[in-house]
Amino acid sequence: MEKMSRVTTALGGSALTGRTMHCHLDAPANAISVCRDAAQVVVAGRSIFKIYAIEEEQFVEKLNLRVGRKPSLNLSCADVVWHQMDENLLATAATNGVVVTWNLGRPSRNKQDQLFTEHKRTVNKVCFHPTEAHVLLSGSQDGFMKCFDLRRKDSVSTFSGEALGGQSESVRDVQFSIRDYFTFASTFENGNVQLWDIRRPDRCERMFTAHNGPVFCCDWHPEDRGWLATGGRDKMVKVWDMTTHRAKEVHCVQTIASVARVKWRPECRHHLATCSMMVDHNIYVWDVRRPFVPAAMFEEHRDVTTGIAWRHPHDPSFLLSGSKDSTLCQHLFRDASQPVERANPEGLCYGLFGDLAFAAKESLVATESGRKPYTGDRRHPIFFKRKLDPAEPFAGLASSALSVFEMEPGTGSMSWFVDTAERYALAGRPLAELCDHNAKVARELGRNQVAQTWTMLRIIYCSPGLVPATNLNHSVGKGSSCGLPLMNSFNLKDMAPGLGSETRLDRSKGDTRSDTVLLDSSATLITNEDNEETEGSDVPADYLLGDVEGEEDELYLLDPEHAHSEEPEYVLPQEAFPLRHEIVDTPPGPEHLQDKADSPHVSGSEADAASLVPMDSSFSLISVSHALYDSRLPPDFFSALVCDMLRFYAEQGDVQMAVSVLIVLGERVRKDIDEQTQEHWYTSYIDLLQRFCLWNVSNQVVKLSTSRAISCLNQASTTLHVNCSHCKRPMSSRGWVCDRCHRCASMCAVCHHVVKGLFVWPRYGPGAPVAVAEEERCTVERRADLSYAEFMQHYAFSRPVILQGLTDNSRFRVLCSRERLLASFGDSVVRLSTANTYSYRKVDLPFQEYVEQMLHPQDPLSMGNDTLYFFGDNNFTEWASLFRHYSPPPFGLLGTTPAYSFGIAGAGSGVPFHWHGPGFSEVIYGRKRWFLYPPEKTPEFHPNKTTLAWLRDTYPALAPSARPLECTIQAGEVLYFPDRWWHATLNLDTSVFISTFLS
Amino acid sequence: MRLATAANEAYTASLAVSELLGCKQCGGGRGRTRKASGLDHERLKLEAVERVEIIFELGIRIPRPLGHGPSRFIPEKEILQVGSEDAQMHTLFADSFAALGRLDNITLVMVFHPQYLESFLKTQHYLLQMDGPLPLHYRHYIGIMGLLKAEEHSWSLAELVHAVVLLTHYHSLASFTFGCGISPEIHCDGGHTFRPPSVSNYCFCDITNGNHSVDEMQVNSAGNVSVSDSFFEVEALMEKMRQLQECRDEEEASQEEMASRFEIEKRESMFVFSSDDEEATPARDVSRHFEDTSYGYKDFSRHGMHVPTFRVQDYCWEDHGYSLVNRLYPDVGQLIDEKFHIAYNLTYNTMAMHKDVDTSMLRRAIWNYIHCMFGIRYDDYDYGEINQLLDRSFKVYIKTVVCTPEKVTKRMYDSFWRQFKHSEKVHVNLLLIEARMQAELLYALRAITRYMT
Repeated sequence: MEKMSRVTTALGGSALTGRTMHCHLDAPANAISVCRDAAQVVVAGRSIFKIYAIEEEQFVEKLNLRVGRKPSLNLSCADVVWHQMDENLLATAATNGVVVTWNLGRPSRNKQDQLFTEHKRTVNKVCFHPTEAHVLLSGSQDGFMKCFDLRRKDSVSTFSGEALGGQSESVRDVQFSIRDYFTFASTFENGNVQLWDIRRPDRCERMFTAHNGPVFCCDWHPEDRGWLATGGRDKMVKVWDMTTHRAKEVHCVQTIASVARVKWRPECRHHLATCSMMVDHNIYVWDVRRPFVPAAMFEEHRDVTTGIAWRHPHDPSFLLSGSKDSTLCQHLFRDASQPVERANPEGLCYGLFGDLAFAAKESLVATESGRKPYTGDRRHPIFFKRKLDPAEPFAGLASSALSVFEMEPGTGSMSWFVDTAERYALAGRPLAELCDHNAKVARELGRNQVAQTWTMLRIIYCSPGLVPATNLNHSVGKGSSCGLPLMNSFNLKDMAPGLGSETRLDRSKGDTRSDTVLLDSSATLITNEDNEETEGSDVPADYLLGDVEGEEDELYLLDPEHAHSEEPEYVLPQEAFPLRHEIVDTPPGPEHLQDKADSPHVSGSEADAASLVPMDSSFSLISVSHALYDSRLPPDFFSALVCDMLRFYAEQGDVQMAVSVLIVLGERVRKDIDEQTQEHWYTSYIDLLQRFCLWNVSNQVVKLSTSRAISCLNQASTTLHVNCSHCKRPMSSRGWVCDRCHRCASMCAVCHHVVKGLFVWPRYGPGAPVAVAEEERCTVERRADLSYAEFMQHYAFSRPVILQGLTDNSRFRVLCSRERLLASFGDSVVRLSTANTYSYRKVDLPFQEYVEQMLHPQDPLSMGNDTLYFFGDNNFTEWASLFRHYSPPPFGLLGTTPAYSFGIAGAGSGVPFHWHGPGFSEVIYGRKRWFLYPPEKTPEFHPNKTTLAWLRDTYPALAPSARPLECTIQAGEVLYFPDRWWHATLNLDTSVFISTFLS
Repeated sequence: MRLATAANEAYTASLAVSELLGCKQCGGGRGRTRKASGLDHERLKLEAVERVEIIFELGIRIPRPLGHGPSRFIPEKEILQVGSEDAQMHTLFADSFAALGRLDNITLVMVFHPQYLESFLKTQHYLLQMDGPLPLHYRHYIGIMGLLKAEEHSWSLAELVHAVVLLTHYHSLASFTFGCGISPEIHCDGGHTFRPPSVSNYCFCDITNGNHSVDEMQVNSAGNVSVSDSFFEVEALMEKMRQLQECRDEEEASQEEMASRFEIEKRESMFVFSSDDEEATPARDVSRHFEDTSYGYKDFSRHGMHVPTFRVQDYCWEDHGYSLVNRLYPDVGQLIDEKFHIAYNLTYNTMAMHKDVDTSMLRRAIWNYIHCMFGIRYDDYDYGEINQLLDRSFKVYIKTVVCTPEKVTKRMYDSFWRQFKHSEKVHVNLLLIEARMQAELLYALRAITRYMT
C-alpha cells in the first residue's frame, strides 16, 4: 500500500495501469525505448521502426517512421533511444554506421532530422544526456565514441577506446551517468569498461577490466551515485562501486547465458533486469544480493529478447520488452513467475563418521514421518547457524528443518561390498561359471541369500543344456528303463534312445563321416531346436571332438546358427566338456575313455576341470529331478520373476546385486526392465563404487553396461594427471614434458625416446626395438621409517619391501658418477657375467672399455646368455676405496654376513628370473624395475631370454592373478628381497646399483 | 583370425619403421629438429642411426622423401633458417615436436606467424585430444571427412557443434595446405619414394606443378623480368589505400549503390575462376570416400538458386556464434575466438618492402571478400573497396583456395602479389582460412540456433 502511494506521488497523481500483454510486430526488434510520458514506446530493428501507444488493454501502432520507397540501411537500427526530456526527440544507431536523429514534431511524413555519418563501422549504441537537451553520445564498432551537439552538423568530440598499444576495440555500450553531469561510461569488446569526462576527450578518467570477453551492456544505478551494473558475454552481471579509488565489484550474478541488456529496476535498490542475446529467451529480474535464483522471471518470448525498458522511471511493476520473435510485450511484475517458489530448499551432507544431516523445508519434513526436527546437540554447536538478515527478501521462505541420522557404531562396515565388488566375475566366462563363481563369492562372505540367488539363476538359465546330458547318460546307463521323454536333441530324430546314444558315442570317437550321414536329415532341426539352449548344446562339441582341430571361428563357421545365438559371451568348447566327462562314466566302453584321454583338448585343458567343479552332487540332483519341467519352459519364462527379484534387491539397497545380475544375464533380462531403471541402478552402483575408490570395478561396470547413457561415461571426462618424475610437480600442458624442468618425464629404457602413454605397452613388430614403459604399477610396499622390529616381524621372512630414508648415500652417489668412476677405476679390470639365469660365462674387461663400449641399451633381440653385464664379482681390494663410503641398510639377519655386489648396466638390461638368499638392493643412479614371485610360485620364463624379452612376450599375457609383485626402485631406495624369492630385474635407465647379500 | 593378427603386426611394424624414419630425417642433417633441442638431439640422432642400421640388416626398404622442403610453393631456403628462430618459435617447435614426434610441414610453414601458430595448435589439440562430446576416433574420422569435404550426420547438439567445429577446422586446414602448397608428409602418399634418387627425376607429388626444379627457374627468371612491374604493383596498391582512406569521408555513395556493390562483388566472385581450370586435378584416391562423386563446392547462384544475404549484423560470431559454441562445447568458443582475433588483427605493418603501413584496410577487404563469396554481408562495409584493392589474380587465388583448394597451382600462388614476401603470402592464407572457417561456422551455427528456437 505504501509503495502504491509512493508510485502515485511520483507519477504526479496518475498511477500507471495496465496488464500483461503483447502485440505482434512485423519484424524482429533490435531495441526499444520508452517515451518519458510512459505512454509510448518505440521499437527499432533491421526492418522495423515504429512507435506504439501503450493503452490499458493493448498496444496501438501510432507511427511508422520507416518511410520512403527504398528502405535504406540508415533505417536498419541497431539501437534506439528516446530523449527523456523531449518527447519529440529520438535517435537511432544504424548498422551501417550512421547516427540518425528524429524529430516527431516535423510536419512532414518523414521525421528524419539529422544524419551523422562519422562512424566507419556499425554504431552499437546511442545515448542522450539525461539533463542536457542537445547532447547525444554514440559508440561504434570502429572503436570510437562521439559526442554530438544536435545544434551542429558534426560531432563535438571524439573519444577513442584505443587501449595502450593501439588496437582499437569495439564499443558495445555508452551510458551517461545519471548523477554526474560530465561523466559517461563505455564498455568494450575486450572486456574493459572506461569512465570518461565529457570535457576530456584525450584520455579516459579510469579504465578497468570488468569481464572476460565483450561487455555488452552497462547501466548506472538510478539512485546510488556510484553503482554501475555491467553485463558480459561471460554470462555475468557485475555491480561496480565507482566511488572508491579503484572500481570495486560489489555484487556479481551468474546467469545462464550471455547478458545482452541490463536495467536497474526503479524503486528497488537491489533489483535489476537482464536478458540474453543467445539461447535463453527469458527476462530475469535479480536481487543482486541473491545471485543464484532470480527474483522474477518473464517467459513470454519465444526467441531472444533484444530490448528491455522499465516503463516509468519510478514504477517498478511495468517492464516492456522487444524480441527477435517479433513481439512487443508489457510484463507486469505481479504476473512474473518466481522461481524461488518452485524450489525445494534441501541440503544433504555427510559427517566425518558417516552421520548424515538433512535439511529441508519444514513443511516437507514434518508431515512425512512425524519425526521431530533436529534441535542440535553438543557435537553440532548451534553457533554455526547463520544469523538471518531480516532485510533479506527470502528470509521467510528459507526456514527449514534439520534432521541428523547418526550411524550406529560398527554398522558402517562395508567390507562385504568392497569384497563382493572386487571378486565378482561379470563377464568373460560362460554364464554358468559366472553364476557359480559369484555364488561362491557370496557364500564365502556369508551372504547366503545372494549366493542362493546366483545358484538359482544358474539353474534357470544354464541347466537345460547340462541336464539333458546327465539325463541322457542316465537313460543310457539304465537302458532307457525310466521311459522319460528325453529332451536331448536326439529325441527329435524319432530314433530309439539307444540308437541316439550310440550315434553320439560313435561320433565322439571321431568318426566324422558317419557323423554327417546321421545328422544329415535332421541337422537343421537340431540346431533350431537347440538354439535356445546353446549353453548346453552338444552339437558343436562333437565337431570339436572329431578331427576338426579348428579355432573357434571355424567352429562358428561350421554352424552358422550358433553364430547368431543369443548368448554371445558363450564359449563353445569349454562348455562342451562336461558332457564328455559324463560320458566317461557310462558303461559303453573303457576304450572310449582311453580314446578321449589322448585328446589334447581334454587332457591338457584345465578349463574342463574348472567348469566341472561347481557341479556338486546336490546340485546335479536338483537338476535331474527338475529337468523335465525345465526342458519345456523357455528361459524367459522366468524373466518376469528375475526382474522382480532384481527390483527387490535394488529396493533393499543392494544395487550391487541388481547391476551384477543385470550384467551377467545381459540380453536375457535386459529387455524386460525399462531403460531408465537400469540407468538408475547403474549410476547408483557406479557412484558407490567410486566412493569406495573401486575405480577398476566401476570402469568395468561402465564398460559392460548396455545402456548407452552409462557406457558413454567412459568416453568423457577421463583426465589423467601426471606428475613429473624429476621435480614431482604436476605436468599440466602435456603428459610427458615437464614445463618446469624442461625434461621428458619418462624415457624409453631402450631407445631413449619419450614414452607418452605410461599406461600402454607399446607393441612393435618383430625386429623393432621395444619401448619399455615404466608402468605405474607397484605392488611392493614402500616404508619410510621402518623399525628393525617391524622389519623382522613383517618382512624379513615373508615378503619384499622397499625401504626409504634409512641411509644417506649421497657421498657414495657422488663417487659413483661416470666421471669419478672412470677416473678412479678406468683401468681396473672388471669381470662381466652373462645376463641369464644360470650365469657361467665370465669375461674380463677394463672398466673403461665396458663403460664406453658395452653400456648401451639392451638389444631386445639378443639372448640373455649373449649379453654381458657388470654385476658382482667385484674385486674388493681394488674397489675398497669406493665401497667404504657405502652405508648398507642397517638391518641384518641372524647368522648372515653382508656381502656387496656392485654393478653398472645399460638401460633395458637386467637379469631374468632366478633366486638366492635374502638381501638388499639399492639403486644409486637410474631406476631398476623388479619382478618378484614367492618361492613356491615358479614363474614362467626362459632362462636364457632377457628380462626385456620376458616383459615383452610373456608378461602381457599373464592373468592378473599370475602377475608378479613388481616395483620400480628409484635412486636412493632400497629393496629387500627375502630368501629364495624368485626375481627378475630390469634397469630402466643406465643404472648404478649395489646389492647387499645376506648369506 | 591368424591372418588378421599378422596383418596387425605388419602394420605396427611399418608404423615403427616410419617413426624411425622420422628420426632419421630429423637426425640426418636437415637440421629441423635441432630447433627442438630441449630434447637431447644428439642422442636421438645416434640412436636413430643405430636403429636404421638395424633396419638395413633386416633388409627393409627405406623410403626417401620426395619434394623439397615443407612447401612446394615456397623455396626451402625461405622457410628453414636454422638458428634464427626466436624464443617464441623455439617453444612452439618444441611443443609441436613434443606432440607429434616430428615437425610437420604445416607447422614449418605456419611458423612464419608464431603468434597465430600457437593459437592454432592449441585449438587443434583441444579439438582432437581434450574433453569433448565426441569420442576420439569419431573426431579423427570427421577430420578426415572434413579434408574430403564430406558432410556428416548429426547427433546431439553438443556432438553436432563439435562435429561442425571439426569440419570447419579441417576445411580451413585443407585450404591452408593447398594454398601454401604444403608438401606431403613423409609417411603420406606422395611424400616418399622407394626409388633410388637417380632412377628418375619425375616427382609424382608435383602433379600439379610439373617438374620442381624447372619451376623454380621459371620463377626466378619471371621474377627478374617483372621486378619493376611488381614494384609498381605494390606502389599502386598503397596509393589506392591512401586514396580510399582520404576520400572515405567525402564521397558518400548512396544506399542503393552500396547494396549493389555488394551484389556485384558477390556475383563476380562466382565467375572468378582461374584459366588453369582445365589443368589436371590430382587424382587423389579419395573418391572412394564419397557416395556422391559430384560433391564439392557449388556456386550458389550459378545454378539459378537465390540465397538470401546473410547479414553479419543479425548473426555474428562475437555476439551469437561464440555463445552457442561455448555453451555446447565449453572452452572451444574461447579458443576459436582467440584464433579469429589473432588472425584478423595480425599485422607487422609491412607491405612488401614498405614499413609502417596501416594494413587494416587491406586485411578487412580480404576478410570481407571471402565472406562476400559466402554471401555474408557487412552493413558497414563499402564493397567498392574490394575492387580497388584486390586485383584479379589475387581474387582467383582467394577463390580457389577457399572454394576448391585442391585446384591451387604454383602458378596461381606466384602470380598474385609478386613482390610480396612469402611470409606475407602465408599471412594472407591465415586470413583466408580463418575467414572461411568463420563463414562456415556462422551458417552452421545460425542453423543450429534456429533449430533451438
